Parts: sequence; structure tokens; C-alpha cells
Amino acid sequence: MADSAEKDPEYTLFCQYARNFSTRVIHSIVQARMGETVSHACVVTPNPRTWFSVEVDEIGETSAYLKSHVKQYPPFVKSLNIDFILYLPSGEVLPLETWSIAMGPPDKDDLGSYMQNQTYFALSQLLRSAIAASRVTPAYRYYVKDQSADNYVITYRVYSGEPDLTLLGQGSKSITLGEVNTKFGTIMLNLNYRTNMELNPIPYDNVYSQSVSCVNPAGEAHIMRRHSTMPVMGTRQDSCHKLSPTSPGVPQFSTSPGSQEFPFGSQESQGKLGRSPSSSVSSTTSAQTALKSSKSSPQASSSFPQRNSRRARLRNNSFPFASLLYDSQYSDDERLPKVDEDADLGNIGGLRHRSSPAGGNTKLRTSPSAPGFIDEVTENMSIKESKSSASLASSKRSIENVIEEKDETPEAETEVESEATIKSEKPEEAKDPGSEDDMESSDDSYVKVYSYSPSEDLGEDLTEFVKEVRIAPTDLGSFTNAQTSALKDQLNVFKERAVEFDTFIARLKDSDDVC
Amino acid sequence: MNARHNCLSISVEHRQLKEALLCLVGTTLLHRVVPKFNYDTNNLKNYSLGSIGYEEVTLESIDLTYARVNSPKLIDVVDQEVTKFVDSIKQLQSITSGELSYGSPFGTRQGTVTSIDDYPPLLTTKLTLEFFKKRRRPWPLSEDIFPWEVWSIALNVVKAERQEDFQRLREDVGEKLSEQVLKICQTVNQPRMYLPPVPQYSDLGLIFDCNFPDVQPYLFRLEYDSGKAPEFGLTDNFKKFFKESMHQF
Repeated sequence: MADSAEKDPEYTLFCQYARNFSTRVIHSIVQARMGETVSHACVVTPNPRTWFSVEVDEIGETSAYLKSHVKQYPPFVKSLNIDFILYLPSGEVLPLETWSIAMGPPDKDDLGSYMQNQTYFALSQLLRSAIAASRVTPAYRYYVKDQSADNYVITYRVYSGEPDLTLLGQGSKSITLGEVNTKFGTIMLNLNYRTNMELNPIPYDNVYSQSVSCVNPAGEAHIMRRHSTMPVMGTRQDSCHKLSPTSPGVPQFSTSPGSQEFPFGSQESQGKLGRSPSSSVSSTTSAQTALKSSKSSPQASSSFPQRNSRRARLRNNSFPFASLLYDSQYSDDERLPKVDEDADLGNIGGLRHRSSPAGGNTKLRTSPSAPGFIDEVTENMSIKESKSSASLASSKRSIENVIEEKDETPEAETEVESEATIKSEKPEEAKDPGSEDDMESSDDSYVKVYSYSPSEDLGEDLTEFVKEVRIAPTDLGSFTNAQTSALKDQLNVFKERAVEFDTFIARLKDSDDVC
Repeated sequence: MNARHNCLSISVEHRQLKEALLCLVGTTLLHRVVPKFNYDTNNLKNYSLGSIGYEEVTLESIDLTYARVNSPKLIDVVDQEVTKFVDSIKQLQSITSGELSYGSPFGTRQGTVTSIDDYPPLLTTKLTLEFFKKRRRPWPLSEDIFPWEVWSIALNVVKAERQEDFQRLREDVGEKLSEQVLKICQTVNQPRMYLPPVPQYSDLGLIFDCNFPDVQPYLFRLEYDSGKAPEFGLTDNFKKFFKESMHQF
């Protein structure tokens, strides 16, 4: 059944719907927790980039976070969860809400044939419900408006798997906002929220350290440590864009005598839905490509345009390896291994698994962004500073804490995004003799960096750096050595000016004495 | 065809009545509007849709923010209708103007008020939001109206004597109103829920209200008994107090 479903073009479209619905729900509820008033005008003209006929902003940092941390969306995962956590200056946390986009079995009694129009409209309704519900939860009413670095901030995380609802405390409520039944499965949107807001905060590590050891056998992404959370920062207007997916054309609907049973179109219009004649093939191809590649390397979603990483970096006020600035916050054992200064930077970008000291079957998982960010926010920074540093932290995808785990499940998926701090498991693989091998120290603290062709796996920052290094000119005028004779002349000029400067200072002193 | 009935109930302080109604009606309409249709001029059977924009509204008398459709004309229409309803509650106006003081033994609250449920309702009233469709009939008969969904909003109106009590009620009513909003969200997303199908271009006005330039809500109306005093009930306490007050004069 699974194989036949994958070949079904309707299933491909269903997967697109589920994915775009998930991203839009996440964007809308994260934006709701930023504390700034949201207002979108209705648009009369069709916009091919708007899914489900609802105007939803794209938040740059959230998109980046999703791109780096969420590898699979429903229906390929059973549940995609969004946690909102209150983070206190003392370092303690209070889980507030858990939103779940879950996949259930298909409703056999419901539809004999897949109705794309109905599904599209039903998902539009559900998205609006998410928008409405996200403003009335206790977390919103009590905490969203008063966030600041002095009080608390709300962070969020996105992960798949079963959520731990016990973290929401006693008396927490769970409701199903709605479900959309299709022959491929049921998409459900669940909301679980805390009702007891008495502040008995929990140390972060006590709450989430357990999840570190709870490895999902399916290998789906889940929370490692506190670093995986993202702060819900207030948005700057220029960093908040309308979602711009490369949706397959303007959805076309049709009315016909046969459409009386179905809102928003008929069976005849199913083939036309979401596809303009010229883009039908390309949209299918791109969707299939996205599906195939979802399990392999992290690839740009077909829903989002390929963004220039430099533009993203500028928008976020970040620069490559910015997060290295925060490494000093960490203890030695949390720091990344040292990079040897003599490493061959021309072949930068190697990724290898690090062999565990015990030589066991080790799978590497990277914890997502923002190590140390929260400390900085609460201790030193206002909410505005936290916004800019959040953008710095979000661009630090490629340099993160690497956590070794011994995964007993061989089919667990490995997610490796660390850029330059991993030692090769296979020393026989290509290395220049006398270079990297010789640099290896006895305590394995040095780094071997190997050339790696598919640069898209390196993360945006590193990819950008690699490109810039490759295209950089060999002659850099600013670094040319000055002639010694010219140097002497310059020194003489400086000496002459020093006399003038001393004279000026003396005059100032005299005038001060007079006064 | 039988209309689907949904019930909402809320207790509010009289100063919160209008905003509470706007919140509930606005949330319901958010789920009962469609984007503007754009028909293919060559083939009126094909159409595409615009998109719906929404905005956050922070209530002033209730600690709550809700989302509504950002259509200025639709907002004005709803506001006018709700305002008419609120103004039609004459006894409420009498109470607020001080002609009938709430400081009677029957309505005075002693001690700290923690919940609006602690107040005996001063009056009860109901506002109905009805979605309907029309069917043409032969001339000279007018169109038939068939409701397909009815939202009954039952309201218990109270009055807080002290300002500090009112401040506590802001939060309490906000919590209860938020539960109603979540209830609306759950109701509209039930599976296999009937919605009128999209008609032909010529019959669009039978299902949707096409008077708005940027959205198309399903045909709807807000109803209450406006021919005389609106449909409301006076509690026994209020009646007794009213009689005793009259005797004093």
C-alpha cells in the first residue's frame, strides 16, 4: 500500500499539503508569541505563494530553525510537536504548551476518493483555528506581552515523536482543535497547555536531561539539550516576510453540476487543483525530489525559495561562525575540540563520524542552536539585544555542540551538522601525507578537515565561506608587503607629526592651568 | 434541512458585554469567510481565490486578545449590529446610569470576589448568529431563507460595584471567554461538517455575501428580539429589588 501510495500523484500533493500546513501552523503560532500585534490585510488577487488562502508571515529565524532541525514532516512522521517553554533568568524553565500536528490512520468510512478541494479548504479552516487558538491560551494571556530579559522569555522547540505532556503539570488540558480526514491519513492538530501557572520552575537540565537519554528508535529529531530551544523573539518588520513557497501555481477551482456535493470544486477539478498547466510536471517533479531527498541530505524545501545565505545572514545581522563568540561561555568539556591552525583550509568542510573512545557503535547527533544564548539574554541583554543575538545564534547552525550517543538501533538516522570538529573514523580515506596525519595529537584533540564535494551538506555558513574562499583573488592588495624604503618615510612622517601633537597637548595643558 | 445548532454561554460584567460579543462573533466569522472569488472571464465555471488576512484585537475591558478577519467593512457591519443589540438592552442602560442602584442588599457582594460565577446574574439575554442560504422562488415570491448553522450566544450580565472587583473580573472573564473561543475552534473543525457548496457564478449571492470588497462571508445575520424589550430574563432578586425601590419612592 505504501508503495502504491507513493506513486499516486494525489499522495504527492497530500504530502505537500501536510508539509506546508505544518510549516504555516508553526510560523503562525510562533509569531503569536512574539508579543507584537499582527495585522494582515485581505488580498483579493490570487497569490500563488499563499497556501490555504490565509496570509501568514514567514519568520526568518523560524524558517532557518526548521530547515536545520526538522528533517521530516507529516505524513512521514507520526507527530510534529512544538513546545513553548518559559525561560526564567535563574535558568529554570516552565513548559507552557505543546502543539502537535499528528498523523492518524485514514478514515475508511469517510471518503472513497481523495478530495483535494475539501482537504485544502479543511486545512485552511484548521490553520485559522490555530491562529485563533494561539491567542487565547493561558501562555499568551499571561506571558507573551510581558517578555523581557529581566522577567522571562518564551522559547520554543520543534521536534517529532511523542511529546511528554507530564511536563505541563497537573491540571493541564488537552484538546483536539480539529482533524482532516483523507484516504491517506488523518491530520490532527492537538493543543496541550498548562493551566496551573504557579511558578515552581524546574531546572532545565532536570526537565530535559531525561530526553537526552531517550533516543527515539526511529531516529527522528528530538531535543538534546537546552541548546535546542529557540527564543521567540519579537520580530523586526524587515525580517518578517510573507511566506513565499514555490507552490505549484495559483490554485484553480471549478464549479460544475457535479460540484454541488463538495465545497470548493468538484471531482473534475481535482486534477487542476494547485497546478497551472505549465507547472504541473515541474511541481510533481519538485515534490518527488523533495520527498526522496528528505531522508538523505538536508535539502532546501520545495516550499521555500532558495535563499541567498548572505542575504539571510545580513537580515539576521549575523556572520559566519558568529557563534564562536559565545564559546567562552562554556566549560572546557563543552567546548569544541581545537582546530589546528595549520590545517589545510583550502580543503575545508570535512564531515566524518567521530569514533567513540570505547569504539562502540556511536551515532552523532548535533544539538541545535543557541548554546549560551539564553544565559546572555537573561544576564546581560535587553529584549532588543536578545533579538539580535538570537539571530546570531540562529545562524550558528553549523557550529554546535556535538553530543555523542550510543545508539543501539542500527537504523537510527544520524544527523551530523558539525562542521570542523570531527575526527575521521577511517584513517585510510584520502589524506595528504604528511599533513593531517602528522597533526594528530595523542589525545585526539586535533581536528582533521577533509575536502567534501557536496557543499550543501555543510550548512549555509560554511558553504558560504567555502565559496568565498574559492573565488577570492590570489592577490589581496591590502595585504601586500610595504617596501622598506616607504616604511622609513612613513616613520619619519609619523615622528614629525608626533612633535606637532605634543605641542598641541602642551597648549591644552597650559590653557587648563590658566582656567 | 435542519440547521446545526451550536451554543455558547458566557457571563460578563455589563461593561464587558460588547467586547465579549465582538470576540465570539469575530472568531466565528473568521472560520466562516472565504477569500474573494476571482472567476475566469472565459469560463465562469473556474475560479481562483484570494487570501484572508487577519488581525489581532486586544480587548480593553477583558484580559484577552483574539483574532478576526481584517476586513474593514465586515468589522463595521459586525460592530454596528452588536452595538444595536447592546443598546437595546434598556435595563442595562438604566443600571449603568444609576437610576437603579446595584447597591441593594440583594446584589451587594461582600468580601473579595474571585470569579464572575460568584455574582448572581442581573439579567440574561441571548444573541443569535445565523448562517443561511437563499433559494430563489418564482416571481413575485421573495427568496426563501434556509439557516444551515445557528450559533446561540447566551449571556449572563452582572455588575461589579467596586473597581477592584471589576479588575479581577477582567482576568476571570478572559479565561472563560478563551474557553469559548477554543470551543468554537473545535466545533468548526469537526469532520464531515456540512457547508454549502460553492454555487455557479450566477448563484453566488445565494450562498455568500458579496457586498464586501475583500472577503466573502457566508450569508449571516445577527438576531435578537428587537420589536420590544429584547429577549431577556430578570432574575428574581432583581425583580424584588425593583419593587422595593419603587415602594421607597
